Amino acid sequence: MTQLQENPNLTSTPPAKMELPSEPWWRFFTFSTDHKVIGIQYLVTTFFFYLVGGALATAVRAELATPEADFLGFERYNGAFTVHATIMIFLWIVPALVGGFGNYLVPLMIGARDMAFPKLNAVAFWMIPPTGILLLVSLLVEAPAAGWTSYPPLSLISGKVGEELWILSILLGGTSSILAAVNFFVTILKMRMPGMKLEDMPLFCWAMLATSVLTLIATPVLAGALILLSFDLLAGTAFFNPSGGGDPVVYQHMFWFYSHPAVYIMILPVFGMISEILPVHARKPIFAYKAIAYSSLAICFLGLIVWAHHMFTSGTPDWMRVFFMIATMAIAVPTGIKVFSWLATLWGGKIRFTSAMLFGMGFVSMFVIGGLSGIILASVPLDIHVHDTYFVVAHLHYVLFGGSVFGIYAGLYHWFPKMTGRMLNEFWGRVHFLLTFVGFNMCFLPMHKLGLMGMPRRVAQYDPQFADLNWISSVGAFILAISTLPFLFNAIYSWVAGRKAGDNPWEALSLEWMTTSPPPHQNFYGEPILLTGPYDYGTHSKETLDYFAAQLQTLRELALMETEAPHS
Amino acid sequence: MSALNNIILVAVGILLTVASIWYGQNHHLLPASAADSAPLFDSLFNSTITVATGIFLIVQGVLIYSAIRYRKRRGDEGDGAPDHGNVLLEIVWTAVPAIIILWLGVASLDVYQAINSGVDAGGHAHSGMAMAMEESSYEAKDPSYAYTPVVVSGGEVGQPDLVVQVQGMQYAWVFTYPESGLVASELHLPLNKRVRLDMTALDVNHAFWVPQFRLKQDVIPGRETHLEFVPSKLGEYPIVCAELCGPYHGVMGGQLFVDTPEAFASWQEEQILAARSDGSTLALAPEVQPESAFAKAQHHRLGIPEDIHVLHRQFGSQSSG
Repeated sequence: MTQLQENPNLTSTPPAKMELPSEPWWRFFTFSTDHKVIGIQYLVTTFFFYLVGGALATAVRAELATPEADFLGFERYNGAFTVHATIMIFLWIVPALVGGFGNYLVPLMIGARDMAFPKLNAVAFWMIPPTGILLLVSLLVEAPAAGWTSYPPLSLISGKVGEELWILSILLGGTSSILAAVNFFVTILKMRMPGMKLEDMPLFCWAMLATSVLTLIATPVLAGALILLSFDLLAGTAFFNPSGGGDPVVYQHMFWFYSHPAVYIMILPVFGMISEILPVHARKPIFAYKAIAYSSLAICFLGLIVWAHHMFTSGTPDWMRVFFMIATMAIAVPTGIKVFSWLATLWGGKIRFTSAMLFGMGFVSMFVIGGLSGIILASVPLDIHVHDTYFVVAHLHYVLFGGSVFGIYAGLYHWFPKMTGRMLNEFWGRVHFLLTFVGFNMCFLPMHKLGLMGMPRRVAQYDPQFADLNWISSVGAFILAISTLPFLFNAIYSWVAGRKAGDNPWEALSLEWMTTSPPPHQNFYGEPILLTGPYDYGTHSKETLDYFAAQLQTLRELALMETEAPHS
Repeated sequence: MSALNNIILVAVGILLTVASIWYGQNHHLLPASAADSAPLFDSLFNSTITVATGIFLIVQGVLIYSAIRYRKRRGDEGDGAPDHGNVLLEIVWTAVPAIIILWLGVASLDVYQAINSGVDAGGHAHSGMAMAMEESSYEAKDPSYAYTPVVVSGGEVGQPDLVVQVQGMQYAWVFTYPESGLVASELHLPLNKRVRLDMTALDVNHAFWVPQFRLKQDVIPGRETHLEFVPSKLGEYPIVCAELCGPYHGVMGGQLFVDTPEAFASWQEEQILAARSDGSTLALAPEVQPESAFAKAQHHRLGIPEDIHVLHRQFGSQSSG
C-alpha cells in the first residue's frame, strides 16, 4: 500500500505531467492485493506457460512430421500431448483471460477501486505457480499419459505418479478458478460505481459475469470427478474401475460436465474483449449491445446442458444423444448473433488497422471456421464418423487458438498501453500477426481432411497415406512457434523503452481509458464519472470530447490537491 | 439502394450459391464408402458442407469487403456512422441460423435413425435418469456388473444375419464367430448381409472405427456395446482404434475383409481346419507385408499366444444374445 509520501509538483509545466509517484517494480513479486498487479502477474505467468505448452506442441508436431514414431517415441509422445493440452487450458487460456484480463479490466470498467475480495484475489493468483510446478514435475517423473481428458481405466494404469500429480495440479487450478469466479460475480453485481446499471457496463463485464456463473456451477463437479479418480488410483476403490464394478462412462459425464462449460469459460471473455476492441478501432458503436449481452447469458445457460456431445460414441442411450445434439446446435444461434453483430460493427466504420484490430478481425475470421466445424460435430451421425479424429483436433484449435489465443493477442495489443503506459511497436505487431495467421492455418486447416479420411487423434504413428498433409501441418506448427518471438521481444522491449502511450492512445470511450496509463493505485483520481457511454462513437463532436477531457483533467488536479492537503 | 446495387447483390448471391453447391459436391474430404448406411452419411455431410461453405463465404466476404471499403482514409480522423442496431436485421440473423439448425437437427435425426435402424448402440442404463426416462427399455440388472454385458430387451432390435463378438485389448482386436467358435485376428464379413458386432474391451476403453463405413463405437470394459451395419462393397478396410488406449494406440489396427458369401464360408472352413491342426482356436493373421511398419508392429503385438489362450478360456465359450 504505497500512499502518497511526497507532494506532487503542482506547478510543473503541463498539468498532464501530474501523477502519483509510480510504484516499485518489485510489487509484481509480492502478495499484492491490487487487482492491476494481480492481472499483470497472471498475464506474465500464463504467457510463460504458453511458451512451455507451445514447446510441447512443437515436439508433438515434430513427432508427427513423419509417419513413424521416431522423435519422441510412443510413451513420451503421450505424455507430451497430455501435458501440452493441460497447460494450454488450465495454465494459459483460462487464467490469462479470467485472471489476467478479467482482473485488470473489470474494476476499471465499472469504476470500482478494486475487486470485492482483494486478498482472495491474491490467494487465487498464488495458487497458479504451484499448479504449474506440479504439472511440470509430472513430466519429469512419470508423465500422465491418458490425455487431458484422463479417461479411466487408462488413467488408472498409465503413468500413475504423473497422473496423481496431474490430478492435484488441476484441483489446485480449479480451486483458484472458483475463488476468482466468486470474486468477479460479487464485484460485477455489487461494486459498480453509483449510477451504473448493468446495461451501462461494457460488454466485457457481461461476458465475465456469464463466465463466473459457468465456473461456479461446473468446476466443483470436475473436482468431484478427480477426487474419485484419485481414490481409484491410490486407494483401489472402484468408482470408475470396471474390474471392481465401477463405470468408466460416469467419469466421462462428470468430466465433461465441467470441461464443456470450460470451453465457454475460455471463449466468453474473448467474446467480451472483441466486443470492446472492434468498436474502438472501427470508430463505431457496438452493434446490438443488448443482443450481445444477453447472448452471453444464453450461451452460459446452454453451455451447461451440452456436455454429452463429447460422448456420442460412448454408448450413451439414443434419447440422450438426440437431446444433446439439439442443445448443442441451439448454441449456434446466440453465437451467430455475436458474429453477425461484430460484422455489422465493422460495416460502415472507419477501420484503423492497428495490431489489436488485425488480431480482432483475425479472431472473427478464424472463430467462424471453428464454429462451422462445431456444427458438423454437433450432428450425431456426422460426429460418429469424426469423433476422436483429427477433425476434432482441427475444430478445437480453431476455436481455442483461432478464437481464444487470437483474442488474447488482440487484448494484449489493445490494453498493453493501459497496463504499462507504453506502446507496443506496430510494425512488429503486424509481422507477428502475419506469421501467426499463416502458421496457424497451415498447421490446422489440413487436419480437417486428415480426420475425415481416417486419421485418429492421439497417435504417435500413423498410416503413411497421411504423410503429406501432416508434413504441411508440422511446417505450419514451426512457423507458429517462431511467430511468438516477435511478440516476446516487442513486449519486453516496449515495456522498458517503448513510446509513451498517454492516457488514451486509441481515443476509446470506456471507463478504463479515463484514467492515467498505468492507473494509480486506487484506479481513479477522485470519484470516477461517466461522461459518455462505453460505445458512443460518432455521437459526440470533437469539441465535446475535448471538453470532457478538460473536465477530467480538472477533476484530477482537484483530487491530487486533496490528497496533498493533509501533508501541508 | 440503386438498381445497380440490387443487380450486384443478386449476382453475388447467385455466385455464392453456386460456389457452395459445387464445393458441397466436390470437397474430396471423405474416403470411399463401403456400407449401406454410408451414402446416407455422405449426403448429409455434403449438404452440411454446402450450407457451411455458404456461411463461410458470407462471413469472410463481409469481413474482407469491410476491411477494404471501410478502411480509415489518410487524414480522416472522424468516426463511423453511430448506428446502435437494427431490429429487423437482428431478427433475420437470429431466425435464419435457427431455421438452418432446425433443418440440420431433423436431417441428422433421420439419418441417425436410418443408420441405427432401431438398435440402441449403447444398450445400458446410464443412470437413474435414464431409467426414469426409459423404464421399459432396459432389463433390471445386477448393479455391480463387472464384465457382465448389459443386453437391450428385444423388440425393435433387427435380426442380424451374422453376429460377431469383438474384443478390444491393448493393442489388438479379437473376433469370435459364435456359431463356429472361430477366434480370428481379422474380421471377415459376407457382402450385403446384416452384421451385428457385440463389442467389449478387456482392459481400457477402445473404439471400433471403420472410416469407409462412417461408423464408430466405443468399446468399453464392463459393458457391451453394439454396431449394426450391412457391408455393401467387396474389399479390405482398416479397422482403426479411435479411443486413446495407451502408448501404442496408434498401431492398434486391424483388417476388415468384405467377402462374397462363398469366399466368406471357405475362409471360415480354412481357419477352423488350420486352428485344429495347430491345436489352438486362434486363427493367426496370414503373412504380413514386412515393408509395412504398421502391420509389423501389429503382428508383433498380436503374437502373444498366452494372452490369447487366456482370453479364449475366458470368453471363447461365452455367447450372449
